Amino acid sequence: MSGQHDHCGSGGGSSTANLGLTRFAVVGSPNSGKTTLFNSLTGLHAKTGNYPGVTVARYEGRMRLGENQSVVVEDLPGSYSLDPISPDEQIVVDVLDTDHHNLRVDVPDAMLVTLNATTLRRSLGLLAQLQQTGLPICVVLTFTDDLTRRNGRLDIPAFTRALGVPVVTVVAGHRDGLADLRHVMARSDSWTTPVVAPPTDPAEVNAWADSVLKSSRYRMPEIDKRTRRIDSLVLHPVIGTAIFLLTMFVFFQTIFTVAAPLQDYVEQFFSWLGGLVAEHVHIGWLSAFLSQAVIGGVGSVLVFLPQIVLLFLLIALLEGTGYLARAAFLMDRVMARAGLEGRAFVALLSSFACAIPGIMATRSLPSARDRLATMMGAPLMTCSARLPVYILLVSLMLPAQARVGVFNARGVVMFALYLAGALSAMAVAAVFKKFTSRGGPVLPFYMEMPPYQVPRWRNVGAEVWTAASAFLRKVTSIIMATTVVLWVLLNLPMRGEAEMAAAGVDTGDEAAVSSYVLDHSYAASIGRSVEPVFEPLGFDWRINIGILSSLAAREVFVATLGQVAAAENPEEPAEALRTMTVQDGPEAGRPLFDAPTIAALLVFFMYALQCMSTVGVLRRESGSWKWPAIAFGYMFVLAWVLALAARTVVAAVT
Amino acid sequence: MTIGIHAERVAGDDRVVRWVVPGGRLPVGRARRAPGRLGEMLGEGTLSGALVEHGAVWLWLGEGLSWAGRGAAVQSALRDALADPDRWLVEPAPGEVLEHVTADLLTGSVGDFVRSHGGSVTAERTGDTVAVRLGGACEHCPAAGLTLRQRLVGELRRRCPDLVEVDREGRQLTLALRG
Repeated sequence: MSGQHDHCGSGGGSSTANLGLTRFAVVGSPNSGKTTLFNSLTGLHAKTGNYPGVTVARYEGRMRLGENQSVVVEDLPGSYSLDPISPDEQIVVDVLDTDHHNLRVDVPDAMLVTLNATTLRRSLGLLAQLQQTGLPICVVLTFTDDLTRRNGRLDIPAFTRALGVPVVTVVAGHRDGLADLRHVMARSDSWTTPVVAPPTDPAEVNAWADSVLKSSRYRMPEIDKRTRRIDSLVLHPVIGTAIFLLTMFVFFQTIFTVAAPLQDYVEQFFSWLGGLVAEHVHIGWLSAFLSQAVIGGVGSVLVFLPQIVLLFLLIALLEGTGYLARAAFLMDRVMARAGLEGRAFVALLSSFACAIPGIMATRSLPSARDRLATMMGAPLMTCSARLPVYILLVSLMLPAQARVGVFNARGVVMFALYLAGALSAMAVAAVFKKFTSRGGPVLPFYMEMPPYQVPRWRNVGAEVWTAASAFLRKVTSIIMATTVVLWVLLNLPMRGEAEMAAAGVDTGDEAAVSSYVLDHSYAASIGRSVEPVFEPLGFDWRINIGILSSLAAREVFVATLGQVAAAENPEEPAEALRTMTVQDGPEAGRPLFDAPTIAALLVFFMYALQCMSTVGVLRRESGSWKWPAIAFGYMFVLAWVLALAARTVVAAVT
Repeated sequence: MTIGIHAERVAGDDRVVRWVVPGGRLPVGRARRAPGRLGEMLGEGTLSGALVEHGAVWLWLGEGLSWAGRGAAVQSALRDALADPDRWLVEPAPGEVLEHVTADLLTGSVGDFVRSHGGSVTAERTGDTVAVRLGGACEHCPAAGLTLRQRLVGELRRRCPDLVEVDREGRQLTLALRG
């Protein structure tokens, strides 16, 4: 969802209220427990904003250390080194002001550097670089419980001595470490510093890290037995792939079966609201606006909130248990077929939520060609904005009781749609890779495999909340705005009674009147003007206007159809959609939403790039308009041609 | 292969840094001559002394100099010099080395342990031997002798593989390095 990664570049995140307080920056590599630490320090009362000029999200919060001592804690983006290759890493460099040119943001007074005890060798390189900044540093050692459980070892006093800075052990979920850390933070002006800073040359830094770890008697953790045993199945080429497909299948079945009753509640709420409007609002146009635009349009999108929440809940659970990393690893083999690597899969997988974080995740790809190819494919992954559209169309096509074997047929079709999206994304990436590739070194694939664990509910909750609130924000901003504009276009120009009577409309029949107004609205003429393009696909002006409006955000398609349906039959909008017929042309009278047309629409939505936020991110991440233009063009052609094919095939079969 | 070294602070003495280096590369004792830049530093007085233990080199900075200013240069000079162990001249100084290592442990981990039990511990060198004595709460503790031996001797032996116990008598332990 685009709302999650706001790209309107709204100013800096630090407020004047925090001026003059001691600032601590939490720095660390990804997966070092940085965000968990930040959340437990600030108690989730973080303020989010953007860094000036870039889209990287900025989190900071205040915490009290004692009676009259408050400090500010800022969570910096995860970074493996201070040699910036991504905008996130550039932020870390800018904030820490390693080159002393920082004029944009507050430089922290001290750093809390999180080091994952299970991957110390790798993290020490970052620490060595951070020590060059000259800022006071306190090392926060995380995952020591994991280290011990997996037979690893670290002599912490010796480690402290070798680093020359304070080291505090904080294990997630335990309060003692946090209390120690608060004590240490209260005395940040007397933190010890290394007597001689570590070297700067990369080879020397590696040797330095080895020396530090050797004198700390560090023993790398083994992969624990439980994880190893599970992995021997989950990462198995055949069994693992079967488990992966099964997991994904259950995933979509759950989204459908669990969400359905919840959706009913939301629907009931809106029809209750509609009843209230009909009862109490007697100004004609206002009542129509409220029931059609607000309840019919926005309400029809909000119905999908349960599904969005479930989708993100399941993704958070898969991630929290450690399965997602295995899925990526498993997919490395499949991705290799497309000439890409497992990391590209992570980017594609993030695109299930939204193409924007997916495209941003391509920053982790070291090869520029791989990056471009993945970026071109990512928008084809079934993002959560497509979900409402698919659900609406699939439920128009199949009754709720339809079954394929023992499974819910709607769930099966949804799974197929997601699978098709993923396969197309990979195929496209492979094609782009082939066309842009002129050979080059194959970079080794490296990924961290976290041990399996019970997910931390707090993190899962936070992730779901972020997604749900971003969806609500999107609904109340861009979707609301587009819906209002559409409502106006659908209801103007005003028609006089005389005109309608002349056209043979019974002015006493409200449904007939609104249907006449709709058919002769500005929106209708816009929709009709593009008919030559979409007619072969079986779309009429109502679908066309839905497609045009979905350029703002895909969900608006649902809102538009909701409005049109609510105008024709306010009592039973779903029924109205089902019984809608083609109005003009040679096919007049055919049910508008027959199987071939729905199939064409589904395929069209699968391929078309109807998301201006994605276009914007493509422009920013690729550095020119060339790539977004190519993406928009190829996706439209693909969408149109394949939709026609789908329509022809389904029409032949049914 | 770059030689891995790192610097450790020595409690109570700002002028000396204990550089942890790969063990067994140099003979143990006082370094009189070293190759390259490190040798020059010793000659010109940037460094006023160098003591080699099994897995570390102690370097004393000349009068008026600071590690903040000289650390980086010394670090790379030492790394280079370690690559050429044959050109070092190290005179045996077992008493001195043992004295420093013992003092280091008594201000550090072993001392912390003894102090956490309400005791105190002192060390005194006589020639090539070092006598360690327990005091405070440990004075009348029957477990003191055992504790001291286990902790201190264990740690010391890790730092100085040549350690020998010369004499043990109640709360006092006399140690030396094999020549």
